[in-house]
Amino acid sequence: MPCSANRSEPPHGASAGRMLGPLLLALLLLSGPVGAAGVSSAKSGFKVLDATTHSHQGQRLADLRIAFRFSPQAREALENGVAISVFVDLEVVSLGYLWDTTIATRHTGRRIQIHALSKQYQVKNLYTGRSSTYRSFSDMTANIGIIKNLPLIEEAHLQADGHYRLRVRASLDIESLPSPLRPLAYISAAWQLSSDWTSWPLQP
Amino acid sequence: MNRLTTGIVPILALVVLLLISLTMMGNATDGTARFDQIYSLLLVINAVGLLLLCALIIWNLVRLLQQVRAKRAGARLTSKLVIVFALLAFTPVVVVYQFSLKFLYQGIDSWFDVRIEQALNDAIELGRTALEVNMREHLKRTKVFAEELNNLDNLNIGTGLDNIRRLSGARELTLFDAAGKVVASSNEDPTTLVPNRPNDTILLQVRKNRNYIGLDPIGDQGLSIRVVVNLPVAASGGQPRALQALYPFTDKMSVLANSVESAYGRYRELAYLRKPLKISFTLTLSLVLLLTLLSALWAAFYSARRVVAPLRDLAEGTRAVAGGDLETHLAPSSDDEIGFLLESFNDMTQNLKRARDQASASRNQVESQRRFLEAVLARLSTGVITLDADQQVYTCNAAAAQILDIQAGQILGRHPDSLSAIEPNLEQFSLGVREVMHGRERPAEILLETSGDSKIITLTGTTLASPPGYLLVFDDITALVRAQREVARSEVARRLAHEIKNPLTPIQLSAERLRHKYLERMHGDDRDTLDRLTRTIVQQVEAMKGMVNAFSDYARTPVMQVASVSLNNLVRDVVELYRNDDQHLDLELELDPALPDIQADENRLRQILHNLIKNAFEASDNHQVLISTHYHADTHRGDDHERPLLPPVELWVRDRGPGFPPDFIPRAFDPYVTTKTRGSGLGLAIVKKIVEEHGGAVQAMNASEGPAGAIVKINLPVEHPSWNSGRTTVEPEEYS
Repeated sequence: MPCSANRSEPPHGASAGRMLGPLLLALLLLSGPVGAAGVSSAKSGFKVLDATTHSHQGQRLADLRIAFRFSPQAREALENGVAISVFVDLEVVSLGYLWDTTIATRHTGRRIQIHALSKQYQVKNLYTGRSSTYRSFSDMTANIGIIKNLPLIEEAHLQADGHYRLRVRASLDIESLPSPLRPLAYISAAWQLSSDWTSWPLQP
Repeated sequence: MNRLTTGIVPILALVVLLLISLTMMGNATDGTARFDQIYSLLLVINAVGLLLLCALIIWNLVRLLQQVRAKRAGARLTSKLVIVFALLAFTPVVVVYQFSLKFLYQGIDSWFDVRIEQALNDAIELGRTALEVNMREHLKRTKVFAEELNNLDNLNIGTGLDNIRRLSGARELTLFDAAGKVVASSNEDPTTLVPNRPNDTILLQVRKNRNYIGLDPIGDQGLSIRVVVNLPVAASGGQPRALQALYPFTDKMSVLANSVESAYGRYRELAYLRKPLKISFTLTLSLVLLLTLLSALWAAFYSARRVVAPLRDLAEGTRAVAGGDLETHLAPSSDDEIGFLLESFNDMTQNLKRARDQASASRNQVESQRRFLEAVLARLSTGVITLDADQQVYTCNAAAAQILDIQAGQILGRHPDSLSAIEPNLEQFSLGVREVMHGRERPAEILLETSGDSKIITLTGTTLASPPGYLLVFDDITALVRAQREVARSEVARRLAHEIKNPLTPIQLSAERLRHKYLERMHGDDRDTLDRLTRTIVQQVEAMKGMVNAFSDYARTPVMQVASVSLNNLVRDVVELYRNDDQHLDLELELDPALPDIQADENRLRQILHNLIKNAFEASDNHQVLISTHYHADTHRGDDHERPLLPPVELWVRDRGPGFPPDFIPRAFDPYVTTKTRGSGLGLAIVKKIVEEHGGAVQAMNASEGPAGAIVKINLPVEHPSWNSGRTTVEPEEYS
């Protein structure tokens, strides 16, 4: 699934919303009981399974394999017509003696929505605008979990003797949910599906 | 900080901001796209704002509790008002909140109706059925086209695709090989270079020889019917191929399908979001409730403070006035009754202040007059004593205390009859006072014995009307009486001397002439008799002359030549004369080296010393005389308002004789009083006269310790109080 090279900035509002999320979450955690809205299934949650890179015409491209395991609550929302956005964030980090430096960041995202009339899952690439449809939920999650040839960084920016790592994170954008659902999503573990940052070696 | 927490503008701004934010949040919940994106931000803003408001209320509450515990004025009233205001605000707000929630839930539930839901389900099902029929038709036709294409060779396949596309009404026809690569494609839009590719799942399905037909949304073109069928394998030379046809919906059908899809999707979403929607609205409503309650609480604090502030000021002002601070001025808060109360308080304090100032001025005036009178009385040489209505001593000036030789404080509050209890010598004074108070018209003359001296006092009195009391005025006229006596005595002495001295010289001359004329002529006993008689006459006349001269000296009041005199040196000089004498006088000196020079007439002091030494010599058989001088520099006299007087120098002359007879001592310094058979009785009188001319005092006493003997003690001031420093000549006092 190709991604264009100029996708370094996320769509309007998505990043700001994701920055606001932890603040709101902290506020809600402080102001009320947590966990009443539902508990996530033990198997749910996004996970970056594999991240590899290869060079192509002077660019380093990334191939990712991500397991998008939605919780029953998230899937229920999806089945009931709620659109869900997922994002994948990538960072190229130069390892230093004292501290690490992020030298490149990339983002890609998908908006998933069910099409009631055709009973298909419609996936739209939020950066390219391309859409694809899937008849089954498993097909959909399997397909969006495979990202290939995602432009990462110009090879010229990678020094031969440098030490780099690729950091990847997959997240669910609560801010893109309908506003009535957001407060619940912020305090409910069923909607806390984002993965941690996972780090992979990146050979120059 | 205080301004931020108690000022109305910041709080109102916060409340208005929260209200706007809550309104926007409510709109966002309602689905307004404008605020939907900032919903979380609004939630955070509202929560933070409410937390701030909450903290503000808590701060106010804690402050109020502290004030109540500290019993600050107005704190209890403020707390009562806050409780009343809060209760008045809470009850309706909570009721409205409950009803609002109930109506809100009912309103949300009323959105969803089983029949509508069923109709929508039916509509979507109907749509699907219609589409399925339509799609099956497209599948059949696509299979036919696939067979037609199967008959074409590779060279004509492109043209064939174009023809078939035009005939079929498809938007796009694409031929794929087994690997999913595009073999040929035909699109109604010639600018579309890349054909739409089915996803891997579809390709996999087709490879399994299962045709695909589906309703797919294709890009921005809306719904399309996607049909993917396999071409017969035998005709293609063993290479499996697949044909994908994308058929567009008719416009009408597309609009209807999209409408049904949109309505159904929206309904499903709303139905799913029913519970979150209720929670979200409840959250918004709760935030509004919280904002209302907190605002009401704060308004209660603010209003209570506004109401209580002037009352508190009034209470504090009253306390300040009670404490004596009449400068308190309360700023009028409003034109209502409280404002009128504050103005009345200000008027009251002003009136009190004016009255206090007037009273203070009167008091100061009285005090000033009192001080003036005290100053006058203190500097009067006349003694003044006032008695109160109970006839007890109320005031006593310095002159009175000096005359009576007591401390003024000793007699204050005492009845005049009880003054003898303080000083037995005041018995006569008490008797005099009684006489005066019993209506004696003429001044009473009292002889007062004080400290070995006697004073003559004239006492008068009068009744005081307001305040009731009695005024006693008395003068020490001892000096006046003595001066009158001195004048009389001097006059007697002068006349006596004159009258006696005149015949003495003829008597002496006559006796000497008799002797000169008849002594040589006479013989025998007659000659001896004449010689003896004339010698006796001459000697007695000489003695009488001496006596007359003494009288003359006593009566004479020459001009004093005052100069600085060292008494010690003077004593040494005089004593030296007696040492050279052959009278075997045993003179012993004890002179105080600290003795200062005094302002005095040296010659007259010399006369004092001669008289005293002579008296002492004549009084003692062993001719032992002790002369000593003393100076007690640590004893000061005089009050603080005047230049302090130096203590007097003391001159003691003591003999080893039998001492003065006790009855002689009170009269020792009176003229013509003597214990000697041949004395004129003027020696000590002259001494006293000279001492008094110098402003000093003389005292006769007998030695109380050691060997017996008479003592004459003279106190001489270092500087006579009435003499100016530059004045060296003092005219004799004129007595009349």
